[in-house]
Amino acid sequence: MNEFECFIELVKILHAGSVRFVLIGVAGVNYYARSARASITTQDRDLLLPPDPENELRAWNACIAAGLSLSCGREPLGAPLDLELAGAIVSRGALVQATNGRGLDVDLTLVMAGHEFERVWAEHRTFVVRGVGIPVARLQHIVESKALANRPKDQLFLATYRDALADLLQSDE
Amino acid sequence: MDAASCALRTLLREAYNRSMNWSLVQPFTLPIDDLWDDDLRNAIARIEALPQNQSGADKTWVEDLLAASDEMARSAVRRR
Repeated sequence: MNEFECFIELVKILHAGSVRFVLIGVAGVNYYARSARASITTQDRDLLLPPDPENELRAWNACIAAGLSLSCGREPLGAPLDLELAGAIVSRGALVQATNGRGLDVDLTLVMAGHEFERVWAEHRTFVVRGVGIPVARLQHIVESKALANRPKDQLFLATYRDALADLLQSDE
Repeated sequence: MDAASCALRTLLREAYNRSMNWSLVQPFTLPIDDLWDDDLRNAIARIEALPQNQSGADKTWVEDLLAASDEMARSAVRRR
């Protein structure tokens, strides 16, 4: 399976495990593109999770079932993976990374600059890929969060996307 | 798009995706207030309102496109 197929398989398992999540970041932005010109390749996929330890734990179990390994910081996420550990991660708003080591890298994040999960969830869209529904945050929420985060990486994103968007709109007119 | 814009856009994309030393491209970027303005907000609103960007839209083509792009990049061979 390639990276894309692995991601779709992960989404299926997340749904089966009743995990609440929304795709954010550049991978989410790409679903709004109308052509290759307005897409930006990215090496990871960011999933925003609610600050709910039980949901966090379900997300970890889904990742493991999909063949991904988990880490926090630069360390593997310690065993046992239980509610106590999930509670600690959620209380710190820590990022958990999941990877299959073959190109699929997923960030399980609890933080989206300027936005709470429930607001993002309330306005998300569900796009369909190979028959699988993928919850994706509003484009406005994703881009706005990057402006608010204002890291060098986000400045680069905005500069690039603004250019791509201008191209797209000009071609429509 | 002229050659300079194209080259800059390529440079920015490369920097974003390869964690290049961002300070190399920082001189080419604008302050955040110049990037996140009403023009961009209005453009985003128009993109979001498109019929193909509503819930239920099939986006399989996006993944196919990105997979093909990755495959092409992987198979590229440098020639001198």
